[in-house]
This record gives sequence, C-alpha cells and structure tokens, in this order.
Amino acid sequence: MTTCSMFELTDEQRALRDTIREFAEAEIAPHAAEWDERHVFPTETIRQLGELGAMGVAFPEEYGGLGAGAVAQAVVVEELARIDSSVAVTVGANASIAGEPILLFGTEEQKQRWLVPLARGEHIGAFASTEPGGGSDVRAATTVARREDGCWVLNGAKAFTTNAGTDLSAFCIVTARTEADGGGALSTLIVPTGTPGYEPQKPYRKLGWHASDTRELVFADCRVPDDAVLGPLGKGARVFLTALDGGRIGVAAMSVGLAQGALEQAMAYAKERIAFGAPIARQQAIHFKLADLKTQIEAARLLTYRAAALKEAGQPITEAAAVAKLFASEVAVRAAEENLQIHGGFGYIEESPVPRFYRDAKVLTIGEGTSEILKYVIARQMDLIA
Amino acid sequence: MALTIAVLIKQVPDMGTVKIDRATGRPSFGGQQVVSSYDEIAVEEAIRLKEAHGGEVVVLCAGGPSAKDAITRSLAMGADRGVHLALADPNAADTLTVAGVLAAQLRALSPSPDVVLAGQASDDYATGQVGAQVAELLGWPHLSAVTDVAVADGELTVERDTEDGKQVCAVAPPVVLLALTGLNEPRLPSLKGIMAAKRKPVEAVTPPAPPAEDRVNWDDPYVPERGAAGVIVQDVPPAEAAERLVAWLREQRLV
Repeated sequence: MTTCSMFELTDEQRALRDTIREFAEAEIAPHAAEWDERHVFPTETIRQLGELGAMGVAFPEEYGGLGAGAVAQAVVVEELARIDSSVAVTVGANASIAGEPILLFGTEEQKQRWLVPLARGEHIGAFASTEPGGGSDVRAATTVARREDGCWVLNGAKAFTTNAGTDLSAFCIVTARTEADGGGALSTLIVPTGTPGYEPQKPYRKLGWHASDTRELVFADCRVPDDAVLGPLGKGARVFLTALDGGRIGVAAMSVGLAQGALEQAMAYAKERIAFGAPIARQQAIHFKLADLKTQIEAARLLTYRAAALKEAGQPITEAAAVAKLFASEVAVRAAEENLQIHGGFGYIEESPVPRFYRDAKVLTIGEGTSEILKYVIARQMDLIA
Repeated sequence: MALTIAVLIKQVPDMGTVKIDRATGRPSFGGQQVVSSYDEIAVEEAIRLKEAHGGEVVVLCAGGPSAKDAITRSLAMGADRGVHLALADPNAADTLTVAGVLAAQLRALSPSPDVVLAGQASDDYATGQVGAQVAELLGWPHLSAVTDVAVADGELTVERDTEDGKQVCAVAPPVVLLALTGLNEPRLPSLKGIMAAKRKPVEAVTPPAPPAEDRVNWDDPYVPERGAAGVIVQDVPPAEAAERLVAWLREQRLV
C-alpha cells in the first residue's frame, strides 16, 4: 500500500460504484418505501444483486468472488445504503460476518460448500453470537454444544441475527460453549439452516431496517457433524472478534451511504422549498447545517476507506475499524436528523424516504458494537485500560 | 453462423449533467463522460448476436485518452476486445474525416467483420453522418434506424423505422447497421464483467493526423431567445382541432 495518495477511488472501484448506483436507483429506489412499509425481505432483488456479483466483491476469484478488495466492498455497501439500508445490511452482513469468517478460518471443504455459493450469490449466510442475555460480552454466552456420538448437539438461543431465516439463507455460524474441549470455551460451528432443531423465530418488529431479516434463533437439540466446527475448537472468541472487525467496516460504510443519501435529500429540498421569497438553502441556518454535514460525511468516508484499505493490505484493523464505525455511525444519525429537521413537517410524514432514513439510522450506533463499546475498544487500543 | 461484429462507439458528455450558462451561452459538461446512448444500444445488440450465434465483438472508439473508459464500459458489458483510435477531439474533425479513420481501421481488422453496428447518431452533435459515411467508404450496404435484427441461414433480417411505419429488409453480410431506440434495452455491466474488462485486450492505434483543412470550426454557441408561447390543441377529435385552428388563424388575421 502506498503511504499517501490523492484518496481517490481507482477507475475500477469507480466503475463498480457506478454500476451499483445505477442498479440501486433503477431496481431498489422505486420499491424501497413499499418494502419498508410492508416489512418485506426483497428476495428477488437480493438474488439479482448476487447475480450482479455484489455478494463476492472482496472474496478471491478462486472462491467465486471478484477479488476487488475491501475498499470496493465498502463502496458497494455504501452505495446500497444511499438508497436502502435494509438491502445494504443484507449484503454487508452476508459478506463480512458470514462469508469472511469462512474465508479466514474455514477448511477447503467448508469454503467450497459455503463460501463459493455465497460469493456467487446463490445463497446467503448469517452469524449468530448475541444472546438475549448479552452481546459484546461474548464470553458470557450460554448456548452450549454438547459432544454426542461424534456430533455436536446445540442448545440455546441467539438474538438479533441477520439473514438467518430468508428463502436464500443456507447456513448460520453460531458461537457456542463446547463442553468437550476441556474448558467449556467458546467455539464456532456452521449450522445448515434445514438442520432439525434449527428454529428461526418470527422476524422482529424493528424501528428501522424493515426490509432486512432479523430474528431470534432457537437451537433445540440441533445436531451437526464434527466437520461443522469453524476454526480451532475453543477459539471461537477469536473468530467472533475478527468477524466483528470486518463487520464494523461494513456498518461504517452503511453509515456513510445513509448519511450521503440524507444529505442529498436535504439539499434537493432546501433548493426547492421557498420561504420568504427564496429557497431555504439561502438561509444561513440551513446552508451551514448542510456544509457541516458535507464536512462530516467526507471525514467519515475517508476513515471508512482507510480502515478498508488497511484490511486490504493485511494490516491490523481493530482500532481503525472501531474509529471509522464510531464516527461514521454518529454522523449518519446526525445527517438523518438534520435531513428531517430541514424537511420540517413534510419530513415527519411517511411519504418520502426522509422518515425511513431517520428510523434506519439509529441502529448504526448499536449494531456490531455500540458507540460505548467502541470507545472501550479504542481506549484499549490506546493502552488506557488492560 | 458465428459473426464477427465491430461496434463503433463515441464517448460524449453525460447529457443529464450538461448545463448552459445563459449569459455566455457556453455549455459546461459536468465532467461525466459516457458512451453515447444509441451506441450503447449498438454494443448491446452486438453482444446479444454473439450470445445467440457465437463469434466476436470488437469495439472501436476514436477519441482522447478518456475514450478508453467508453471502451472499458463496453468490454464490461461483454464485448471481447477494443481498439482505441487516438484522436484528440473528434468533434473538431469533419465527420468524413472521422469516418475515414474508422473505415481504415475496419479494413485492417482481422477477421474482417460481418456486421458493423453503430448508433444512429451521437448524443452531443447528432449529425448522424458517420455511420453512413463509413458504409460508403467501405462500399457496403447500410441500414439506418434499425429496431430489430434476426440472423438465419447466413442472412440478416432487419426491421427499421421509416417515417410512415416499419420496413423489413433482408441483407447479406457485410453490412453496416445503425441502431435506434427500441432495438433493445442495454444491460448494466455486472461487477464480474467490470473485473473481467481489465483483462481484455485494447489495442491503441494512432491514425495519421487529419489535414488542417478538414477541421471544423464552431461558432460561439448562444441560447436562442425564447419566442412567444405557441398554441397547442390536443386531446380533441381532429375535426374540432381543425375548427379551433382555423378560428385562431382568423382571429390573428393570418388567413
């Protein structure tokens, strides 16, 4: 990696961005309001994105991907979130927390079975770690995998799992306490969705992200073979934390995209809305807001691309990903709020994307580590705490 | 029958981003350059013919360094290789000069193309001359305003728009076809296509510089004065429309 550059995308990254932008504007934008209102998971559109190549952007070509790198992956997720955060999280989570751990920790057989079809867009995957009783405190997990007749038998429940119950969902990576490894340490197992005892519950009624699939999962004597273990037995916490780092770049990219979309909506309205004889954009109270947002979004985008570029270069990303996600998600919430404020009463009516963006923004400061957890992660990276 | 298809494309400013400064009359182009829209339809048709019958699609583009982006876009859609003809500003050369450059390159192509596809006209200057001139220089037949192409038994059946309807022509290759809206809906390049495009060959050719006397000089553009608003009579039966029109003409003392 070069040490400094113009911080511009390459021709190839721009071409990928333009294609996703054209797709999102033509195939997603006209339907986003309806999917949101009816809480519909857009199976066909997700399938089309898979055919386009959007699920395998950063994965190597030998595993069905494009080999375009982590920055291109972030750009694709950003462009989707500019139009529809639900679609963006479906694609982002699929790549970063379902596909990526298999690429990094999977056996060749696991990669062929789960990663290749995922990268080609033929199926999607999920990662289930958070439990009703705890999220980032992964070591408090109570889901258990018991050794029995050469198999693992899973029992427990997982909360807030993305992509676990759709028609395209093929597998879920599950963190569980493996009793047979001597210490009851955490391990990760790949569970095919059709396995008896794999029981996705009804989708949650969420504040936002209505068109994404989020559920509680129950495992009731769910039996998987020995080769379902992903990565070394007892080292599940490492798989989890690595997946989270990548996932945070994904959420940062979603945040940048949502904020950009909100800014564009606000700018269009401010130029068109006349008050006291002139467009409200001419009022300092309004154009200062827009200038502030522009500045913050540019900064969030650079932090996000930098974290992705470090990942692409094989550098440690824990701190960079946490910094990018913390900053970008807070910018997204601010952008969504200012967009609504600038729209005034019209912003409060569900007839434009403005309220949807407002509802979709808040989860960005929560998913893949709350802002508070991220500050803790960053402080640890700064050697301020043990 | 496998076909070798050459497609002539032009890179133009994205017309959606062009703005005219009312004071100076000068256009500003917003920076975004795209494949001219009819040319993109021509690229799509070439790819569809290749997918249906086999063969190869070669894209030719005359222009400055950025013209390579237009070729890359076509390769990402599914064309097989490109030829970039270095021509600093194609709009500064006479259309016949540009056609001469393209025709010379088409003669040099190996294998020789069965079909040359191009857009009916470009989005920017829209003279609609280059395609027909290329055909004339090659001594090949050409069909303009093409809205459908079918290939069977070594012959093409081509449907084209005419002023009063449709015409269907049978033609044997080699032939030049000029694509019009309605022929197809160009595909979005897939992300895989974009990644594959960088591995496809693009030949760079520097044609002899066009003679100075062939240069076209453009007068300063200006924004036409807005005339008086016209009268539009529509959505009424023809007889009533005629009555209203005659009444208006009488009122204005024009008849």
